[in-house]
Amino acid sequence: MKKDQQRLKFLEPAVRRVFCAVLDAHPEIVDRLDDYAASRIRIDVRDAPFCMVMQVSKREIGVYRRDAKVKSDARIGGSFMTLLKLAEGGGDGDSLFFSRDIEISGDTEAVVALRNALDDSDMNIVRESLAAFGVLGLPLRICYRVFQDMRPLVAGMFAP
Amino acid sequence: MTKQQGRKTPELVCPAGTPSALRVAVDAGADVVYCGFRDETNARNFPGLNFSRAEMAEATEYAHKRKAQVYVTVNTFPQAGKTDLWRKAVDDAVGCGADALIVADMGLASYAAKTHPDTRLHLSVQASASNPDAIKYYCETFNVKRVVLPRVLSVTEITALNDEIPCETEVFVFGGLCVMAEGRCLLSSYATGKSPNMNGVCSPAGDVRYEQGKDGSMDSKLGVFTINRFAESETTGYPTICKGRFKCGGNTGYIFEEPSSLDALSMMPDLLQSGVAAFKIEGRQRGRAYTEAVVKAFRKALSDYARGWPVKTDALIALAEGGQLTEGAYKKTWR
Ligand code: SF4
Repeated sequence: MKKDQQRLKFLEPAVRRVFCAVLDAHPEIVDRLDDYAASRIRIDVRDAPFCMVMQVSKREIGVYRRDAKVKSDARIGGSFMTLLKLAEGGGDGDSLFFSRDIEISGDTEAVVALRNALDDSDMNIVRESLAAFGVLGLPLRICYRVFQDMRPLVAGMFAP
Repeated sequence: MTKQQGRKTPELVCPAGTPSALRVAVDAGADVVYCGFRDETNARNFPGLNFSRAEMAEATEYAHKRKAQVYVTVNTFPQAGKTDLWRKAVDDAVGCGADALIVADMGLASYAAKTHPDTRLHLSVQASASNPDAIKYYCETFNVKRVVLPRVLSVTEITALNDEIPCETEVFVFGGLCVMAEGRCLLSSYATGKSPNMNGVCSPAGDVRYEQGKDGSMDSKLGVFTINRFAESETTGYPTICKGRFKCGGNTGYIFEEPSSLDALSMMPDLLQSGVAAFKIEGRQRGRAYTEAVVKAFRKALSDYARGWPVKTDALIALAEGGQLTEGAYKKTWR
């Protein structure tokens, strides 16, 4: 499959908007990343049909089909909620790695730098999304809250 | 009664790799937070971690306003021709308002003692001082007020040591285990050319690779060595050689130690009796979620113990390396 066919362009404007809003709200992320801001990092969301590849120094983020072959320096994989927790500092990266909730490959330094930069940033994806979309961010917030409230219920339904 | 037994509760000394983690530690009940500058002068020189000078000054102000203290680690060994970097770190730490300096190198201890005689000097675990003669030497020569003990002593040995030395002792109560006599391990240098003592990092991330197998397994590699292969169902550990799994004598297994974290919650009464002045939590490289959970657990344990309530001992298993906790050398049954 050609690279362009692997790209989910219709998702990119919204994702890029949130990505840039996060970087604008937290310039300390770029500062902490230092040279690693130039690394291309692939985020594999295990329970979603897509992955993302971002390059902080260029403020670029691409959205691709889950199994797309895209050039990257490093890769982090995990479920949506785990990655969200990691990004917002709600989960300890080492513990999530020990328990295999996240997996990494490629340039370990770049991943460690990103993890540390995010952990320091006090980022809140909902707050940043609201900032990115203005009033249009409200539905996002509602979806996120509903998803969080429903999570234990759904997990309970599938418990052994 | 020894000098330490006069204290009611030991200081809770907590790690912070970032300003955000420092605020979390202070708010969770740390008496002291220890941290370092963003360079090779401290033993947690990881990418994206540590404090700029401005961040250190702000962090110290934040802690002091909330009646907490900040100890600054300058605990690697200055390299020939580059000693200015380490001396500047000492000067800047004092300038930022540090309540104590944690050093390992004798030359740097001498510099700090002479240049900043009013700043408390603590001896880092990296100095590996674990007998009365060595510790007395540091106290008498550099006016060291506290020594951080290597994680190789039993509680009985710590109690005996406390009776023989003229300074306070600080012991690790939770976190990663460096199983060798600290400051003396050459495994990382052998595999990567970089060591905790000289470069501030054991098994540097730049030399680590993780490879995922199609069967769900994961290989961890350090330099040119494959140091472990984890099956899909196994928990993992840090990519340090001491926690590697090797073929040896016809068997495959952990020849140094299994991946596990130190947890001395169950030993708290004995450690309190031993006369230590401070409990130290390892983990400046960990996230603020770890910092918050561990600081809260130990703050609660200390307060429960003071009230005569039972201490909850299994609170932190989710944070453990390899999903395992150990009392390490505190319950030493080997020699
Ligand atoms: S290899 Fe293990 S024992 Fe040696 S310095 Fe690293 S963590 Fe410590």
